[in-house]
Amino acid sequence: MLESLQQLAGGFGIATTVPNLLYCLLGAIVGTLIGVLPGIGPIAGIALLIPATFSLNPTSAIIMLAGIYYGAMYGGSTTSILLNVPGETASVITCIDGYRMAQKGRAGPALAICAIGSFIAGTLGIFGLVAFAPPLARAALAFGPAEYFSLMVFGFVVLSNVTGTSILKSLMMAVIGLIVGTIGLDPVKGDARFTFGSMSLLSGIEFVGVAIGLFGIGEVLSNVEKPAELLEGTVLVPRLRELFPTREDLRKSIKAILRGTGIGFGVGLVPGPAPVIATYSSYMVEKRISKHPEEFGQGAIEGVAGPESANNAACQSAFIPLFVLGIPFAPPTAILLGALLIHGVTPGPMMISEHPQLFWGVIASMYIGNFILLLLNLPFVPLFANILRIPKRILLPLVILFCVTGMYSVNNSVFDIWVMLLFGGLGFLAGKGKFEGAPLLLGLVLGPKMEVAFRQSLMISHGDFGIFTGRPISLAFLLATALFLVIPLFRLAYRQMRKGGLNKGSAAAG
Amino acid sequence: MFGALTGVLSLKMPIGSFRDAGPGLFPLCLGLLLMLLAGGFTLGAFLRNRRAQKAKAASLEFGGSAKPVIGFMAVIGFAAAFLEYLGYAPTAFLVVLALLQILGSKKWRWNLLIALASSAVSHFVFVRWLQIPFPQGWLGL
Repeated sequence: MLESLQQLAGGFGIATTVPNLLYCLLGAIVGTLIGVLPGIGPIAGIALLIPATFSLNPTSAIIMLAGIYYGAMYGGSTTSILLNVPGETASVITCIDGYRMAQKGRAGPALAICAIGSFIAGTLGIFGLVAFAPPLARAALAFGPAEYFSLMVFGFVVLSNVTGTSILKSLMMAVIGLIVGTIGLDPVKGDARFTFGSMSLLSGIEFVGVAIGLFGIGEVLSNVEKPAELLEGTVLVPRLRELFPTREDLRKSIKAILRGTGIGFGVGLVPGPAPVIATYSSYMVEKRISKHPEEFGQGAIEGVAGPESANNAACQSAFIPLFVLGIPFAPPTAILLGALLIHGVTPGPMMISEHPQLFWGVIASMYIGNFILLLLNLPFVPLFANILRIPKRILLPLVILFCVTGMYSVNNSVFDIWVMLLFGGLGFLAGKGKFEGAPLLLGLVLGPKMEVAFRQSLMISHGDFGIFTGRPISLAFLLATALFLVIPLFRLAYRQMRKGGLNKGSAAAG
Repeated sequence: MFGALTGVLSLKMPIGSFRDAGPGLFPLCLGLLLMLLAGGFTLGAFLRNRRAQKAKAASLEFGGSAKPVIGFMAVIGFAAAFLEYLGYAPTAFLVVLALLQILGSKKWRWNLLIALASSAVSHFVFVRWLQIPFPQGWLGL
């Protein structure tokens, strides 16, 4: 722990250089804007801005992209409170009491408590990250190709289990991503695969094109299809002097913030849509232990403080599986994984020892970023709230222009714009059929690594598949995978049985 | 279909053995897996429909109008097709103007102003400041 704190101190030295501070500030501002604007989530935001980081060194790039991620989480609460429209899914719970507070003329304290709670949670979350990540990385050093293959299978099943409505649909998307990932040169022998003689396909399908297409263009097309009724609500913009919470507000909030932080950090370590589960759990806990549960839903400040803190703590701890195992358990960290790979950094147990500057620099920048967000969110809330008044019919064409520009700049290639368009259409149609894009993207990113691990394992074992079950860590991952596959089946069967029982009961009563 | 296509195309490559896998083995396994998953999904959907006694085919219903979606995709396609001939700034101008029109804004002058301003700002930021080598096109812009 002491060694980790020393390394963290070194990380602060990296994060406080003028360029990195500026990138952190830029990421926090852009992230807040993305969070504020309904319809553009953190995933699309990060995907859109990956090309803008190509000229940066990996540390500065990830500092900026991580800033966008947690900035978007902060910003999402603003629309929840002022407009009753969550900027991203994790802010849904904040709408319940946050918007009621705004209707009662207390939007200011609600927004201020969000910012303070998020700051405290983010700060404590970083200490948790420092404590947990290095020992976990040391444990993961024992991994060979078989363990990595099993871990990646586990990652796919976990992400498929927690995204979308059906595990089968998500697994299909993951396999499609893996197939798309095989386009280009064979990673072991160098043969061209599925290129149909095209030189543009030799280097494979560009990850950024797929990400911007699925999440950027796909989201814009979904917005274009429906009427812009989401922005027709009244925007309740508070004045600066109305922002400060009373002493009573702070007294009520502080315990909720600390509880939310604990819940959020714990949930963030577990595979799943951590911020959503964390906010919901925190709200339920606060309501259950409150002496006045009837106030929840009517504008209870604890109903804002707890979930918002849980949301931010979950975002921080979600970095642990990404950095240490190289496996993202949530869609935004899947995009960040792609960004790390583009910048030549392979997340995993060796990341801390191979790229200490990046690892500790990014962690230190998160702390600084949280402080920047606290400073940004309090005085500039009225400004951000006014951004909500930009009509969608102006915003969406500009987002498309930005997508096309960003996509071309990746390789100075028109072919990439076509790839983006293809996956944009696919993302739109997939959304219609309730197919999630995140597993496809993860398949594309991890596909080549998975294939290498698969083929290396079988080469070592002379074609014996027992290598995957004969090694304890690999077996543990495969058993966990089987559990993740079986649990939804049991849940479905239980639901069917209950439904059948109820139907029989009502038939008998009838 | 996609799984079957992948499988067929993979068979045209050397498959090798599990001990010494060729480039076609991994995609072949993936194609088969996708077919298996799709089969399971189709069977599940069929059984669910039968149980509910509703032979409702899974369809991609549009919640609103499909026209702007197609229009947006056509405009992006236009940008990809003509960027090298028109150059960045004129393409940006036309893209924004067309998209504003598709979204139903009837104020022509206002749309022209937004398109002009956004193409000028993006030209300044991406071409002049960040020096991204965009094609200059016939007009040299």
